[in-house]
Amino acid sequence: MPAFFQYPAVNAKLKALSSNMLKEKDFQNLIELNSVQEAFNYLYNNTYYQEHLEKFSGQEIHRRQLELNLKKSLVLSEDIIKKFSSSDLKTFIKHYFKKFEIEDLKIILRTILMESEENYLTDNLIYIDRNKKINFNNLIQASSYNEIKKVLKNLHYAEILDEFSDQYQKNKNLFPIEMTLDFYYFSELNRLAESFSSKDKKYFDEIIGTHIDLLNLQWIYRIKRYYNLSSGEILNYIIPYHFKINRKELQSMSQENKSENLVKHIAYQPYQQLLEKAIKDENVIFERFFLNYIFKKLHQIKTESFFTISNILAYLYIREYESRDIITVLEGIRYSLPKDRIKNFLIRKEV
Amino acid sequence: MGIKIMKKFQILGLKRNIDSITEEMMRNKEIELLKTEKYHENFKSSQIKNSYKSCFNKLDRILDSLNLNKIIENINFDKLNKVDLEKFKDFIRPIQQKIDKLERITKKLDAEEKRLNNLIKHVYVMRNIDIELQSLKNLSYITLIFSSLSQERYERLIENVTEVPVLVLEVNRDQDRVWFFTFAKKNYQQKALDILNSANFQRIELPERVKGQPREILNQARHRLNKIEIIRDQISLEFKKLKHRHQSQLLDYYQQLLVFNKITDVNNDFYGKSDYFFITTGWISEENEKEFEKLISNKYKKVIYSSQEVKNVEEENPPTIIENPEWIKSFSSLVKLYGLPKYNEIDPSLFFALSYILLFGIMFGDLGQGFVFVSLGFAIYKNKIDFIKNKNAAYILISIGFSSMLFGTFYGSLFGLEDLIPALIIRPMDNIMFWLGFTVMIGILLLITSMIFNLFNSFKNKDYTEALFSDSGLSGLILYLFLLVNLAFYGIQSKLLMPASVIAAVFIILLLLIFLKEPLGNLLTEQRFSIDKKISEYILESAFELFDTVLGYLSNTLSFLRVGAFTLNHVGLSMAVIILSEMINNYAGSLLVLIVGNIVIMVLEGVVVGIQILRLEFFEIFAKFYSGSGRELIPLKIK
Repeated sequence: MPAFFQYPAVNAKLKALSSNMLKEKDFQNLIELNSVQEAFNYLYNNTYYQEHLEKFSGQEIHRRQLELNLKKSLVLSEDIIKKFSSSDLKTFIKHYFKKFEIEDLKIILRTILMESEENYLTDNLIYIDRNKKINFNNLIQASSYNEIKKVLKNLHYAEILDEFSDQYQKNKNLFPIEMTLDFYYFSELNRLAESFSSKDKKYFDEIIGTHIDLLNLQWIYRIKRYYNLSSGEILNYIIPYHFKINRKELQSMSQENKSENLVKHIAYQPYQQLLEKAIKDENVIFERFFLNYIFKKLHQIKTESFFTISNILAYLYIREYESRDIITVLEGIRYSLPKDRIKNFLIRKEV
Repeated sequence: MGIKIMKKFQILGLKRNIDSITEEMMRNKEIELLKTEKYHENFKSSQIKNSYKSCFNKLDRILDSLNLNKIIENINFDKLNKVDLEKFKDFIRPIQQKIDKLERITKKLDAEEKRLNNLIKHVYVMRNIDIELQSLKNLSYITLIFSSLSQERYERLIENVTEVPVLVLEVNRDQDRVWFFTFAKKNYQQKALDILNSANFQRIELPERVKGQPREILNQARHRLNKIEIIRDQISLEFKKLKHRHQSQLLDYYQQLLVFNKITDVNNDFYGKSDYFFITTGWISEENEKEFEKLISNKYKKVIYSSQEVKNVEEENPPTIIENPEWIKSFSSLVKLYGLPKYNEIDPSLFFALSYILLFGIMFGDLGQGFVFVSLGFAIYKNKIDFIKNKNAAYILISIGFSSMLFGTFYGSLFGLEDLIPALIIRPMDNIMFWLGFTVMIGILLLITSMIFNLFNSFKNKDYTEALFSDSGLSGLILYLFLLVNLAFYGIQSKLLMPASVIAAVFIILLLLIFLKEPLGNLLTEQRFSIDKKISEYILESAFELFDTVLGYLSNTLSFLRVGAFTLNHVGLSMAVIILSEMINNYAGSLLVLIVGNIVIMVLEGVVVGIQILRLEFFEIFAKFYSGSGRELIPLKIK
């Protein structure tokens, strides 16, 4: 379908939804509150989260429940966007949301195979029960690697689990599996984006590409700082797509010995400054520099074009960051952090 | 006939009866339970540990590995008694062990076979090299690693191993994997292995015992493969023995565990529990209830059973069970394409069935072709046709077939031949304008009926706003009739029925009523003449709606022209076939054309007419009175 027909409807819908999003003022107000219950009341009475929290009205609410429902409200966007999309776009959107499924799957693997905390699963899974090809009850009641694999049969996940089966039995290490799941997610996303028009592809790169770049950057930094892996291993583990950092740079970064010197290998100015700042300033959580960078970029992009996928992607990211910020505030309130410190944990807070 | 009356029941009972009461409810195939959180917060939804689940899963796997058929036709509840899990475990343990052992061996064989096949594949590539492969393994300064990777990862590996001094040599590849040698200096061996590990490589060990040149290795591997085949045969024989010996007892257990596993799941999903009691709520049909209540109160003295009628349909959202005679049911399946009737709605199945049959006859009137439909329907009914077992199709075919035959005699049409039998009533092709007008009249009748249905529905639900002021309510109905009468009178007499000013006045008043639907409705129900929206918004919205309404009357009515058009279309197509057959000179040829032509008409036009009627029903008729937003009852079932 030509772009001209494909996007206006969904973009108009998203624009309407965006206008409901929480404002700066809302976050101010939320931070001022003293208990999770008050925060719930605020969200219920003043924001669009009301419809997602309806079932708790008039009840005492637990923080975990609230967080879970905020997260769950996030994945409902999938249905809205799909309703307005052509079939190609639908496939892409469907896969975009698989990131939540993969996160769920990681939680399941970790919980079932390593810690097995009661109720942890039902309190934390947000997406995977939506997948009709998976028998949710059997999945969370599974008790071994092979049982999980069996429930996931016919899905690509089972192939991945199969590939690592022997290795897992030997060393009980989930790390390579998690890496492979992420790897699969991004490579599939990228594959689907290949059929995009050049404009769509541009915005895909601008948003998802930047995201991947920054993930790789943080990864390499952390490995260099805390672990000792060889260049070849690092390169095998990172997500093999790049936007503003090229292969050469990644390679020379992987061979660098000192984490502080990584900056030297990046040519792209904004990243260079970003990494430099992130390394220097130890008062702020390392990850937040990168999230805030993407956050600003999203706000720039979101108004740029009405006839491309930019709006959809920006909306999804911003919506996700919003709920992450709300959850941060909730946690801050719960653990009685000073008000101005809570602010410093928010993605939207300028760094 | 129609929709069954539902009641919401509640059961409060002793916890020790919980399993058997669940069983009773499962036996009754028309009970739906509500999820716990929907009705009670005070009872904790404490989860009972389902100790059947693990046993059931185990058994399920055993049945799978023994290849036993798990489909159980009818569960015989009376034969069920509590499973003694300990006994079950004792019974199953030796079988499990045996199976485990066999499966372990099979797995080993699989691995071995895979390895051998791999080996053969790759050694085959080197079959012309005259080196002892073994000697490559024991080099003093260089390590040799033979391994495989997925293609994607291999490509990345090649790009990524720039730093470590290793040599990667591709040996072979298929669609997704690459096999290769990696040569590394001894002191870099660990580094090389780390990198390969991070790519999740699969090492292929050259077998220890195997010595010699590639060709010899190949022979040995093949020999070993043959041996594996023989062992496999023995294993499958063992499996068969096991199956034979334990079959009936395993299936017995399976049936019991299946039920009890489900019962415990139901207990967890649908029941609220306190220390001694449990509580549950669900839907049951009124006619079903009496018996069920009697059963429960007779069997379990200490159970409190209570039920209440549906008070607020919107809030409670009861499920719908339609009950109809078989042949209407088959049309219900078409109605379901649109949606199930809401609990308090009229079930439109009968009306739908009658109008469908009528319209089909009018649009596809042919004595011969109708007869073919009827015979086809009978054949399906008698299970004579292998690939269609659906009784619905049989009923539908028979009824529309008869209708088609009836109208065929009216039109005097037999297999598209118009001159073989006399027309009993009319030949549509000779009276085209009359015929089109006539079908529009039928359409008008159907539309009026559907508006009356809407009136009936809304009065029944006490929705007076909809009943009095909506475009398919009373105001709408009067407006529509008023327009029709005036038009008809003007059409026949060429003058106005009433003075133009009166007509305009009545017209405008009726339109105003529809326009002011919401404030008037509020006046009626809450005694206030106001609206909840902004006035400007309301005016804009209603103005468009009004425009759409008036246009809608016209288009809905004219839409029925297609009924007449298809009658003519049918005659037209038949004529084309007849002309074609006459063009062929020999007798057999023209008969063949006639037969093939008739088949084409029946399939092509039959489908098109069928769909067109569905369209008429759904868009023109259902839209007026039928919401179709009901939900189906989901009974408790074993599976």
